Amino acid sequence: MDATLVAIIAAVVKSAIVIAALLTIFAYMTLIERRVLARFQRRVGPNRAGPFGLLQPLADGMKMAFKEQIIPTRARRLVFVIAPSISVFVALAAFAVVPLGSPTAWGSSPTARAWAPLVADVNVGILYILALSSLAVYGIVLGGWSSGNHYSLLGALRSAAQMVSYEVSIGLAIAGVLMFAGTLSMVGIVQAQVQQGIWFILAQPLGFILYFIAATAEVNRAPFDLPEAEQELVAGYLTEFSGLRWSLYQMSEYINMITAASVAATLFFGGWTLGGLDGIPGIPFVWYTIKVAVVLFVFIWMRATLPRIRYDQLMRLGWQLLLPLAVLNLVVTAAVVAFDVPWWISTIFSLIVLAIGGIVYYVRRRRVEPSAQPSDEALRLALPTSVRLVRIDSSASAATARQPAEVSPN
Amino acid sequence: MTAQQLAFFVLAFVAVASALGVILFRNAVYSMLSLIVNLLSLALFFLSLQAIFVATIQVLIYAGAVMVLFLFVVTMLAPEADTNVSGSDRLRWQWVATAGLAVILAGGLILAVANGAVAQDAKAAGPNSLAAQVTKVGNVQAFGLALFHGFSFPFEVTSVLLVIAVMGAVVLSRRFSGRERE
Repeated sequence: MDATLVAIIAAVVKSAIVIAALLTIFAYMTLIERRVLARFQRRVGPNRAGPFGLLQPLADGMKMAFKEQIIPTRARRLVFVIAPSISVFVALAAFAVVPLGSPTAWGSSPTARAWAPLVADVNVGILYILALSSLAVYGIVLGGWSSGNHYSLLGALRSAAQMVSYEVSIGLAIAGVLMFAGTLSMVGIVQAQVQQGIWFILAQPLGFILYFIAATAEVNRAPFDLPEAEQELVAGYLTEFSGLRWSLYQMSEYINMITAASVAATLFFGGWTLGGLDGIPGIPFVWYTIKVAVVLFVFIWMRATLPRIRYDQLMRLGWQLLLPLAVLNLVVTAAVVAFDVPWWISTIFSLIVLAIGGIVYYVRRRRVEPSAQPSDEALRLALPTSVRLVRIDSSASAATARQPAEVSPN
Repeated sequence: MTAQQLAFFVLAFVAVASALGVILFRNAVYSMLSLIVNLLSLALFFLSLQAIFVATIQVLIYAGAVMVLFLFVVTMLAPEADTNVSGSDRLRWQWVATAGLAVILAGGLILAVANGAVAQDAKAAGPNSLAAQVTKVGNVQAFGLALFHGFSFPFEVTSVLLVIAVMGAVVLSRRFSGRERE
């Protein structure tokens, strides 16, 4: 058969498989996230539908499908209807270049290579993912704008500002890995890790941490989920969406999360390889799945642990901390690659930066005056300083309570 | 008609239609959406010319970053019906000027295509051409070599220009606080 025809058929079939798989994984990610969060909060979580709640996604899907899809009277109908689809389309398309296994194992002929376990082996793979994830913001901004609702619009604007700010940091954090690999291809990056005998997280610990923080912000996950902060904005850009349109947004968030985890696994953890076992059929996919699952678990863990940060903190973190550190990392990595010194020089540098960061954090926490630290005698606990603002002092009279609240030093 | 020609005409139609949409929509947000579609169709043009790196950069920079800022400003400054431009067009003489310039541009393009100047250019198709280099060393590498070896001076000059633009923006936005200090 004609090689071009085979390539086209293979691309269509593989796209269909990837889309079906991602939608299934999305459904079960919601269940896993709810169960894991429940464990963190000492609850049981959804366990009624089927054994271990395994049919819960099906039940949720049915419920969503039969819900009324409201379009507000002030909404701009066309954009309102299209916006969730843009989100999902972009999220699905970005996954196309993620390699689930080695293409070289599929033989060297073009017809055999067409069935390699990734939809498209593009030689600018990582840039392709960055480009499509930079389009992801349109689904959210247009959805928020077309709702004709101020809360939705505020959520949309927050999302636009947040994604533009953190995109820069993502690109610069990844650049260190790209210099070590010498290629932009996702397959090439994994092969470079095999050749050099290290995972790039060993050479780029700082780069990985910067990538992970910026990626969390980029996919709007807690603690960076300001676009849908329910205490401030009802549900942000999601406020007016219901039924299947709402679940389309959820779908795109989870698929983006899976893509971000896949990029982390490919760039920093050697993708489908581990311990030279990737020659055995099926094993590369298992390694890949395990690595992605671990990263996804950390995403859920962070959501369960960290409180949402304030908007000014978000901007300061992005522009004043992540961006300069990413540039610093880039310069040092460039020097290491250009002067051909061993890779662990950049590791030592990264660890020094992280250690300085840790010390600064510790000192700043210690600098809070012990007398300014409110304490609870009954519990014999020193409370965080922020508690003082909200604690009602029972001994104070009604007159002093009307005085303006004392502002904490932080 | 080959598949490539078909793709070209479909893309050309989308590109022209969206470009018209940019200037014909009364609502600023819809104009901007047309511009995004236009930029994306240009990216697909680059892709059909095998320039995948340029296509990706087109999406990443223009459709992804620049237009998001535009969208941010337009939706923030005029979220309601104010984004609609209304009233009659006061610059009627522009129609005449536009028609004249359009005729000149179309004539020039037709002349260029008819002379085959584009297709037969030795630089575009010869053995030492850019296209041959790209297939030999790869898209990104060819781009990087051209940018940092062949065109390093214009590249550096452009970076200085951008720095000047950024400084200008800072100066303009700080003008008022500077007066207060005096």
